[in-house]
Amino acid sequence: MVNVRSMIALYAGKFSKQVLKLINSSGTALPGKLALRIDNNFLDNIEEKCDTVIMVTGTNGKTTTNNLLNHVIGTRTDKILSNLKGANMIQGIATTYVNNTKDHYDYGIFEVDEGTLRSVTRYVKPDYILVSNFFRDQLDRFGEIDNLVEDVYTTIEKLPESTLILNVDDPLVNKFTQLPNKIIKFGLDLDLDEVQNSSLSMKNCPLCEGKLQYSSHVYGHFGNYECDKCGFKRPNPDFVVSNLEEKASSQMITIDYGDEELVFEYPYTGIYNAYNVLGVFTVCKQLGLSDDEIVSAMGDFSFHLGRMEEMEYKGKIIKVILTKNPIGLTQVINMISNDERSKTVVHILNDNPADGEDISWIWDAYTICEREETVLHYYCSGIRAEDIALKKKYDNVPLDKIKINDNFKEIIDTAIEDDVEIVYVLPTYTAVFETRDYIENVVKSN
Amino acid sequence: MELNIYHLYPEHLNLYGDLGNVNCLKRRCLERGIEVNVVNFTDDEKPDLNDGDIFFIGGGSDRAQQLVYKDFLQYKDVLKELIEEGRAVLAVCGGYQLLGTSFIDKQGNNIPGLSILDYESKYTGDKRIIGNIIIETTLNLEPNKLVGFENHGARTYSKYQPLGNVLVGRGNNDDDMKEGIVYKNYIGTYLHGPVLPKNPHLADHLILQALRNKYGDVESLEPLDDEIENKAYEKFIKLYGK
Ligand SMILES: [Zn+2]
Repeated sequence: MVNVRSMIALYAGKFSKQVLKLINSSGTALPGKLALRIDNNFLDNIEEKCDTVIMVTGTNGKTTTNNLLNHVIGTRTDKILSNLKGANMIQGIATTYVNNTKDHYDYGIFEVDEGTLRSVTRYVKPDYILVSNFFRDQLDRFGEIDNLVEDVYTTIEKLPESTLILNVDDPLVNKFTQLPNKIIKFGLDLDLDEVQNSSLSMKNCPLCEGKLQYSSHVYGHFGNYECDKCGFKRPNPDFVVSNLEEKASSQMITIDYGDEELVFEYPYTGIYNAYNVLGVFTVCKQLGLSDDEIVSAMGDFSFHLGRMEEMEYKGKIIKVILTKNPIGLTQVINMISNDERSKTVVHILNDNPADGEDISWIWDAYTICEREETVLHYYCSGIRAEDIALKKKYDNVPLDKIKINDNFKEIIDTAIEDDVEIVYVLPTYTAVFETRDYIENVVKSN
Repeated sequence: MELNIYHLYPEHLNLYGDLGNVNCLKRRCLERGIEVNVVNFTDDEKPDLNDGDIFFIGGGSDRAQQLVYKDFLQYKDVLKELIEEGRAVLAVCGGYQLLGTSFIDKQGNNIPGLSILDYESKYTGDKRIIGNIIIETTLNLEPNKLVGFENHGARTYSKYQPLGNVLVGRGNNDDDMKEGIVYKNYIGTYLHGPVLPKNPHLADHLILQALRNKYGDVESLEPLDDEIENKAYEKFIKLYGK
């Protein structure tokens, strides 16, 4: 049955999109916002149109996971509705629907902000929910993730039909195994024994406040842990990464499940990417995809939008990576530390509301680069250029390597002429799109 | 010369990058040839507080602050005496509240603080205070402003000398435009940033007081190359000053 109100909402949304186009504004959430204003049950339409709905939530890796899921499932069908650009609040998801063109979709795949899951699932009941991790975010205004985890937990309590895909290396996610839902667990059987950053690793049990003892450790608060008080511990995952072999710009990943073992090459480095890959693999196995289908699709995944994009300029690689919170920045620096090539690093730190106005989050990240001798310069830019420069000073970087200029275009112009093999550009959220576009223009016009 | 920097409960009270304060104190001592021992006071390790020259206590989640409150109750008299004696102490945000007579939990209930000093932090039902802040400090510092970011739900009321008068932002509460407190060489504040790397003149104030306590006749500290610190400070005032 056609719901008139909802039709009006849809066309109002579409109309606003045309207007936005005319005035050359990207405003990814506005059409959805308008549609919701007219019909606040607007999102009901999504569930009707999509056979299977998958939601991805958690602090880090949502956009990558969503794009990778789309890419892999996209080898089977082009009928997928998804918010690929990362607009993960309720208006952004509604905008996705405003933009839709098909009568029916095989899959609806959405990344959903942890704080938005409650309002979105009021209208759309997901068949699968992938919960990847909980880290303190730079937008964590209340100074604790406990409330957020509790909010997601009580939201999912009202969704008993949803199958949960859980990263049990994270104690906060493992807590969700207590829910009566069907549960599939994934995790990494690795002991990386990295530098521990005390403000990023958690030591208390999410159930009883007892101390968590780690027998192995991956990063942040991920690892194989057990509470010395109540016995809460990481269970054996159903899907496991049992080995990782990092190469210059790819990694060999070994996934074990049941009696199967698969080894394949994934074209991006970083342990956090191994988590994204394993999460996507686990979801795809629930959907009935074959190992070969998944693995070969993953092998040719390429990612745009500045999450992990590589461009070439005068024989060197320019790599743009979004860094938006302490654990993300720590992981990216760790990846850069593993890179033996000569390099220059460009930080672009903004403090707009979407970045987090409190830039003290950079002090929670571990930003010391190993192989310091391979880094030619640290360029510091963005609205708070001086603040990231100060952090680099505290990392004991020689001061003559630190260059400050809050004009990101000027700094990129300089940095990409450095005599190095690779230029890492690390913008925060509100800088990522314009940075990427600017570099693309420079690269193309060369 | 040598200073012992005591970091109270770093495993629990570690929000908002405030660990950077300890790094700052250490760094600014080492650059001047002052030896430094950073000593962690934790659930499991209880080194003698009397040996501390500078104490730092940060803020944590509600549950973390509760854990610390229970654990530190038996040591509070020692710290109180040290503050009376004039030891240098910096308490930020949750740590600042914890040392007063009351603070609030997640639900907004008023709960008892350690009562080391007589000021209270309470729930008023008003929205959290979040944003950039600039204060004019009551300490004799050059420059005379302090910059940072405040993020707190409770309002603090005190009769002590404030750390500063608020120029931009809110400070302790909604009423008196005061920020933080100063009592002898104890400084309580809501400023994050972290506050010391962003305001090296405040860090040096703590170091100087600690050296005077221990070595008596220290007149001033050798200046350091603070070019980047000064740029960050000036940028902040340019962006957010009125
Ligand atoms: Zn426990």
